[in-house]
Amino acid sequence: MTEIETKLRRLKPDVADQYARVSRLLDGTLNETQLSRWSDLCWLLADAGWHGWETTHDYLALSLQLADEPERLLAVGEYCSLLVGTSFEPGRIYLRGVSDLIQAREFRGLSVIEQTGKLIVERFQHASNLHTAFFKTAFVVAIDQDQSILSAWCRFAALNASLERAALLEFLNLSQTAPEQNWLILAEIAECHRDNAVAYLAFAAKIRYAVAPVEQPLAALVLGYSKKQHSIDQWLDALGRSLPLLKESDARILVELTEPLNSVVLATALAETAVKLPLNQFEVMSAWLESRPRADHEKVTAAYLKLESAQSEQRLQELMGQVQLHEEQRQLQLFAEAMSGTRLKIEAGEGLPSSDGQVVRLPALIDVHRERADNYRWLKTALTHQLGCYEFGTFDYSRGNSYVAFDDQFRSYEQPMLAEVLFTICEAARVDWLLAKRYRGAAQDLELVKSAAAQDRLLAGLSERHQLLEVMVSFSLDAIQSDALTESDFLDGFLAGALAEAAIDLCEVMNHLKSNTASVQTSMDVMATCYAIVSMTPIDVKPIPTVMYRGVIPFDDASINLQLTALEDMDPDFTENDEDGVQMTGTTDEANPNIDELQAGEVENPTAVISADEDILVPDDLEQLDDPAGLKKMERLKQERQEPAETTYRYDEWDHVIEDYRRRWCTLFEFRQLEQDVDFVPNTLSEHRALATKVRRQLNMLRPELLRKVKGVQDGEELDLERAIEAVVDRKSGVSPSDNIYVQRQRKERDVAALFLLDMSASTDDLIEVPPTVYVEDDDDYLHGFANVGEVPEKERGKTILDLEKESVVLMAEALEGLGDSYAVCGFSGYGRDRVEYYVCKDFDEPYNYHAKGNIGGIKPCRSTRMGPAIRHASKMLAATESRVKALIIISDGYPQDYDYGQDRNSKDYGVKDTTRALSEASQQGIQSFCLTVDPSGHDYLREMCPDQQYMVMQDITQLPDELSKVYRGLTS
Amino acid sequence: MPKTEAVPYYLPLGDEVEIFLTAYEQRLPVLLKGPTGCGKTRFVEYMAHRLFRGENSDEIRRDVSEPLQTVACHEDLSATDLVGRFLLQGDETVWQDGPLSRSVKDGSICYLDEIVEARKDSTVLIHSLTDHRRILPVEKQGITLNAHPNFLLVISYNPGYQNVLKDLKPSTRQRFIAIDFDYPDEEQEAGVIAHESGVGEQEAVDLAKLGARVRNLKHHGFDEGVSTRLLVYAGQMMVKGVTPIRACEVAICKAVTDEADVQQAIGELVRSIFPA
Repeated sequence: MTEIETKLRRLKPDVADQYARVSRLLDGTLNETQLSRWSDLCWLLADAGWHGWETTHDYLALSLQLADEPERLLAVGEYCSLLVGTSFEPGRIYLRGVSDLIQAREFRGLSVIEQTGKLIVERFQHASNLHTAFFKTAFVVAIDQDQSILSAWCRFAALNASLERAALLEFLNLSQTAPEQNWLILAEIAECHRDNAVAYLAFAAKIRYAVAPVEQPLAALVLGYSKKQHSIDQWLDALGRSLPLLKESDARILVELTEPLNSVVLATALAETAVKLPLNQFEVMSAWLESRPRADHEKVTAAYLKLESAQSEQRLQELMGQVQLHEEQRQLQLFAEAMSGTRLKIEAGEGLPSSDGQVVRLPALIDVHRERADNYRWLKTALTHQLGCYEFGTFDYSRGNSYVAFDDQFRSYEQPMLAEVLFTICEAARVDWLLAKRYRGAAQDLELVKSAAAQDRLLAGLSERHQLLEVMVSFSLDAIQSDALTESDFLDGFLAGALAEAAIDLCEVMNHLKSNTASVQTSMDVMATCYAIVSMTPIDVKPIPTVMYRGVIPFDDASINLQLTALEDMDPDFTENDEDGVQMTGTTDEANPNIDELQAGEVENPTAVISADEDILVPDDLEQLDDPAGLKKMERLKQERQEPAETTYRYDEWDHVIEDYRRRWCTLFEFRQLEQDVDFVPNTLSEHRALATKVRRQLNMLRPELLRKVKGVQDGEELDLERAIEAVVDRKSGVSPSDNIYVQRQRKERDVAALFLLDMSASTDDLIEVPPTVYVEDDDDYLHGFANVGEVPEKERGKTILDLEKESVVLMAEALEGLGDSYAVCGFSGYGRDRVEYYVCKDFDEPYNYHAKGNIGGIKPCRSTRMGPAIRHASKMLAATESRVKALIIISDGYPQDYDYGQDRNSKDYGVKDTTRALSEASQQGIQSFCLTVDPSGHDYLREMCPDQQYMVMQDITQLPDELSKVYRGLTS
Repeated sequence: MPKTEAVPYYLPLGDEVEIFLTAYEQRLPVLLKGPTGCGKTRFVEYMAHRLFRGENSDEIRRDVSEPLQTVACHEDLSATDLVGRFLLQGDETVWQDGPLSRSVKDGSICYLDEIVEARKDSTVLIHSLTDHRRILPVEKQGITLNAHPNFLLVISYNPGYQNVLKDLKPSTRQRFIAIDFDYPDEEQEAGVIAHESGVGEQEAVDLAKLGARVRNLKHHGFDEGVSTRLLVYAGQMMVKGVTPIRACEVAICKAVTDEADVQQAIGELVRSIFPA
């Protein structure tokens, strides 16, 4: 028995036994010096104080674990001996931590912990509970996190070591409750501003659940402020009050909005008001923040953000009251179609409302009033006014055999501009009055909008002519009510004498427009009379302000467009299909200056001469007309709305070179909110009516006509003889007979799910080699003119492969609706493995409605053809349906390719092999696949790709719809 | 139909009454084509009344207790349902005539509503009744019924109906005089609405206006515009004190479509036409 063992035995016999056992084991691995030092350490630890033997006990246990590493064992012991000065606790925690580290094989962190520990032990020598807390937390962090985070935490702790003891203790406790904190960033914060880091840590620990969703951006904000040495206590206080009350999404927006404020004072102000703000309306919020005062003194801005200033509150209300056209567009579109009975398109445009016979342009954003309801009323009334022009025949004026342009009419007066202004006022007045009579509901809205518009009109300070014009406008807005006006009615309005008399005359003339039978001709006549009165006054060339909701109407453009549309409707040969028809009228603007017969005297128009002389001007104008800036804006808005509507998936990809899957190699984005083209489906159907019927008929054959006889039912068409006899026998023998004596014939059910996968690669934008556009040589001169003017417009250039793909699918969809099979229509494209795009136009359980039709119509050629992931995703969708027969039909135009589809860009192999694999995976899931391609070289790779020769190479792509239905029948029956 | 019953209200839109009378004189079967709720059934009721209860009808026709047998055809309507079947009654099987055989025997008008919905076997069944033979074979009984001289078959068919697969076979179609029906124009429809629902003239005009506007939307989510019947319903709701906007909402907006956008658009229409 060694001396140490004896001493230990005196202290605690158990530990002595343990010591004896361990020392025997270590005898071989430790050399003599080491062994003796080890023994000394054991005693040192045990002797260090009250319950010191507990430390020794743990050290002995650890010794077994570290038997192979004598040096480390001794080092640990030495370090431990430093900790046991005041209590056994820190040493024990340290040893247990080491033991845990050994088990977790995370030994690297130990030295960092030891260094930091040493720092703390030296600074607070007798605070054993502090030491304990440190080691406890350090090892928790060490086990949970990796090395870099641990060292970040230790750096943080080391920084805190210069703090008060209580503060350090609090830090340690906080760290212990939240070991998963982002220590990297916290350490970084601490390096800039230690107090902030601790404050943030305390904040995050306190309302963990509320902070978790915004943790990263929030920490980034804290770091930003800390770098500037701003104290964040107040901000965190405010956040601590508001964050727990906010929804997760709102909290995210709050943090996002805080970032650009770039000031902790402002951030505090915003955090304080957060609960009161409509955070869910991001657009409103950012616009509101955008208009904050940028005063030098932050207090001004802070008051704004706190909603304390009147300006701030007013602005917010205004913003909330705004009506965005795109939010209401769909419903107004339908409203316009219903009212007008034609396919008038509603579009967002710059400036005032207007329409050209095909499109009604309305402002994208309406903020005329403060209240949303008022703004919406304004929008609807503006639209109703435009529609009223169509309904009440504004553009019928020149219809008929001899075309007379409005412009020519106006030019027959000495002052054409005045004539036009007068006519505009009269016509708008007439339309509004007729609308009010015809639509009692709209009349109420009109009244309100009119009176609001009238309030903006002022007579003061205007020239005589303008005063008279203003009188007319006011009269048209019902601001001057009485039918029998006297001079005195106008005295308040600065008008007197001859001017007042003229005003009375004007109003009396305009009264004619209130008649139920007033037509556009009445407006012309009234204009003529008014012209006689107003033209007496001195000329004032300044334009008078427009009545906003009435907008501006290019009379001639609109009526020409309408005439053309009417002509096409009359003459079916004029264009082959609706689509072309629309394009033809689309060229109107372009052709306008060249139609001599159409607008006699157009040449006199100075602008026309200019544009004829300077050719360069024309294309500029055209571009503007063809592509109004509003359209781009709408596109942008659409895209903005579409962006979030995607879900991402990751798919493996087969690499035939390494003969293995590349795990989670491709990222697939699934889009469900797509660009809409609502006209495509109706156009296709009207164009291919005969083909549609054929496809339908073919698929109809799939309909199970066979009837199954079900015997033994309670109700049916026939008696089941055997059972009937049995029943009679039963009854005769006194047994109660069964009721189930009828035979019923039931139809067999189909249980099919089919997915059509369209290739949307850029190459599908290629034209099909059938020139479909044929101009009709017609006697109508101006139509003839169109065909020859300029280049053939973009859309008229024939059909693309994708168009045909879409058309086929539309025909199939129409037929399948009747058959009752469930089906989906999807498209795919993308660029690179990180962006495979997958568009779901119609999901299996979605109805084939307006929305789905619009989606299919909206498919456009995009980029590459990475088929593998698209097939895998389609298989996944199909597998999720529980149908018995699952069919995947892929329509493409070439071999699968993408810029990184395989190492060698020029080799098709990789793509083909991956697609082959994807198809066989599909077939393993019980999905039958079929590839249709228009690539003449398709045989080469399709034979390899498709299981069981399930492919078809089409010679003539125009047969696609026909073939598709055959394929479908083959696959599903 | 009791002999004293009032004449069903029907507002002729064209020459359909004359055509029908002429067809009946020759006993030519008639096919009525037109969208839901435009008055096909009402027309047949009106004609039956006029032929069997009107001033020009003879004694034999007046004696027919049910001048009109209406069958609403459905997917599982089989020949048996039309012709008749054996039923167990007490100890024996009893033959029960179907509506068609009853009509053939009585010499009344048999009206098969939405014939395309019925199963193929039942459409073929009427072939022999609709040509010069005018016979109805009753297979189950092994007999052939000769149609009563006053018997006439009228079928209706809705070409725009949703189920595109259901098309009338040419062999069936080409046995009928076809009369086209459509919704009346605004003025006439206002008259119908006012008469049927008892709503005031202004409201009737507005409802007709609404009907015409909503029909402009028929490509969006519903295959047929709002029917005259629905407009009449809306009128009936209004007569009982429901506000016009609410009445149109329940009778029209919600009834014609399930798509929220379209419902909203119709709501806007309603609010434009009817004052709040």
